[in-house]
Amino acid sequence: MLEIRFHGRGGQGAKTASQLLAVAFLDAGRYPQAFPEYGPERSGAPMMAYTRIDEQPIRLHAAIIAPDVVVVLDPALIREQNVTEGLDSQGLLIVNTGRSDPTISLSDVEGSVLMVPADEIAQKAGAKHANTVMVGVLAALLGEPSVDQLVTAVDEVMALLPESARDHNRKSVQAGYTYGVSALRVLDDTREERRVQSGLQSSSAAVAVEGTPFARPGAMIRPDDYPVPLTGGWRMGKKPAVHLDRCVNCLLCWQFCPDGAVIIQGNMFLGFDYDFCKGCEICDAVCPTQAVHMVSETTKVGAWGELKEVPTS
Amino acid sequence: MANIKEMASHSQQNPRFGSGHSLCRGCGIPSIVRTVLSSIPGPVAVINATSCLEVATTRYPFTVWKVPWIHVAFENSAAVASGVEAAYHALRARGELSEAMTLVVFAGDGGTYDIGLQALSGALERGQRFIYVCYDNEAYMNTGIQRSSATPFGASTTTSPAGRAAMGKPEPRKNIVEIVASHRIPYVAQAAMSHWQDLSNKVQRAYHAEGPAFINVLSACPPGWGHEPRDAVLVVRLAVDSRYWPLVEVIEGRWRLTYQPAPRIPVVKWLALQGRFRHLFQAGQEESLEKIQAIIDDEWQRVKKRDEESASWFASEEAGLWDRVPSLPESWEPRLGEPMWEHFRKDSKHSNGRVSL
Repeated sequence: MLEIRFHGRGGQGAKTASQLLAVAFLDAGRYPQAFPEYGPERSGAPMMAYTRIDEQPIRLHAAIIAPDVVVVLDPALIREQNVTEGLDSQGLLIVNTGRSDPTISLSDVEGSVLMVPADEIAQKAGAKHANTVMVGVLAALLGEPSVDQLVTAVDEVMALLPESARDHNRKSVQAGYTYGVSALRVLDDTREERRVQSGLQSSSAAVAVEGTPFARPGAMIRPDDYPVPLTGGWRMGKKPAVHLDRCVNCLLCWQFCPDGAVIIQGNMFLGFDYDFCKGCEICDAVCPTQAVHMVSETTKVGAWGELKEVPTS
Repeated sequence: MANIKEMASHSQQNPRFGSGHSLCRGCGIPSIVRTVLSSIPGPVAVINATSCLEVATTRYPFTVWKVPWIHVAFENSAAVASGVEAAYHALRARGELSEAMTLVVFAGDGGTYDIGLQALSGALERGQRFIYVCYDNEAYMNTGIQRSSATPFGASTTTSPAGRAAMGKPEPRKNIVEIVASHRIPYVAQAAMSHWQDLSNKVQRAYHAEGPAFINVLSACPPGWGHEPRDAVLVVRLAVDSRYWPLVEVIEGRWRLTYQPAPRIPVVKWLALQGRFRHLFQAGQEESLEKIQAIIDDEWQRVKKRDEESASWFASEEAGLWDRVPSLPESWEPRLGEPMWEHFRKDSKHSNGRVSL
């Protein structure tokens, strides 16, 4: 049995990717199974999707805890979840590095690692999300299903979408497959050279997944007993920044910020708390003086998101 | 009336609703909760019906709430509030509790309009003293956007989908403010997340009510309503300005409008911003659009008439009593110079020194 686990966020298409792969494998004459698992079922919240493939009917319907392949659609998840849980030295980890995060490195993962600039590939194909690219890459690495079977599966799974969206996803599956075939050559080289790092700057830090202290069953929990879960990783590539010279301290951003991510002292505005900001852009929308700007995640800003110069755009 | 800066200072000194919840990007609920809780002086206890708010703020074993908080079920938040109130009176009578306390119920439109209505009605009739805040996002958003009796006519949800056979929900929404006002309780109001000052004023009047108070607040729901998260405030604002959502209050049976939208904005402007009404802009749907406008005009006329009828009472001294400013605690003044983010500092001992100030 082949077990594949997708890690994504609500809205990034991990569930669709798991289904797409299963439908294509069905076409290839296998017995597939695909289902998602949500924590908070929210757009932007971390979630997982599973695909199982076998040559006989699958009777197991549990979550996948010892996957053969792990596909990560958003590298920022690596800090929040233990994505490599259950992955052994024979395993394969495929990470979308389109949302490059230089603080993450996977140098201590036991199995093979493939970094795919999937956002870029998807963008070129016209698709909105990287999920279909990753399915293409995965199929190329596994040698099955074929591109044609994947394209047919796109039509089937995305039957309710407009033709243009299906077309873009067909293209991105094909582009992903092509990328996967070229990556396969590299992966087939010596074991030491298997750690392919394309698109991500290497860093010496290991995967930092700090152990979370879980409360004992039956224990009483008071408000401050448990560390606050950070929601900053929900942002999709943009963060708010402020040009303080323009700020008139009206505090409307504080008033409407859903995540309490506007830092104030007394009644003075100070800046943004990136640990909690989910990137909804409400602060930008309600700012009466255009002091708040949404900037790319990689833009360098001062303490609490202070901008020295107003972006020209 | 508390302004935004007073609320900001208050919420810093008395942190009641923190960060780290898993509500969606652009959700309107946290803004409502924070405005309500930072407009109430003195201790607060919260009763929470099953809802987005409950599910997203108390992911085991973490909680966002920094006040006493209880959750039971969808249908009995008002009944639980009644029980908490009885316990509160018992403790006071035995001298085990010296401070006065405000009970606030938060429930969604599903837990108020539909499932919790009988418990709410019972508690209102018994005159139990609490502030019931219904945040209305106009469908069962937590379980995946199913229609509720708060869903407006024509809106597409997963259980009233737009397609060849139907064009969204065929029934108009229920008027919960009229239902609650029929209980003749001291204070009933309708507010919107975008109009925070109006909401804060209404919470403070509800605080003074000698009995149950009910506030219905329009929230925004980007995934359920089909708009960009950044437009949440704009969408709610347009709901008010297009007269779809009149900001009213009912004090001792007398209605008044607390906000007069100046120019007449056609409701299509509001509808066009939302994916749930997209199907109404196809050819051949003009009738539905006209019907929505007619429903709104009719409601507005009714509210307007009641507003005019009670104008003389609202000008009287008796009505003026409702505009008392609650006596704020002395610690209300911002204590500048103290370490910032006191509650974060408190958290930081559990979060591996994450906050370094």
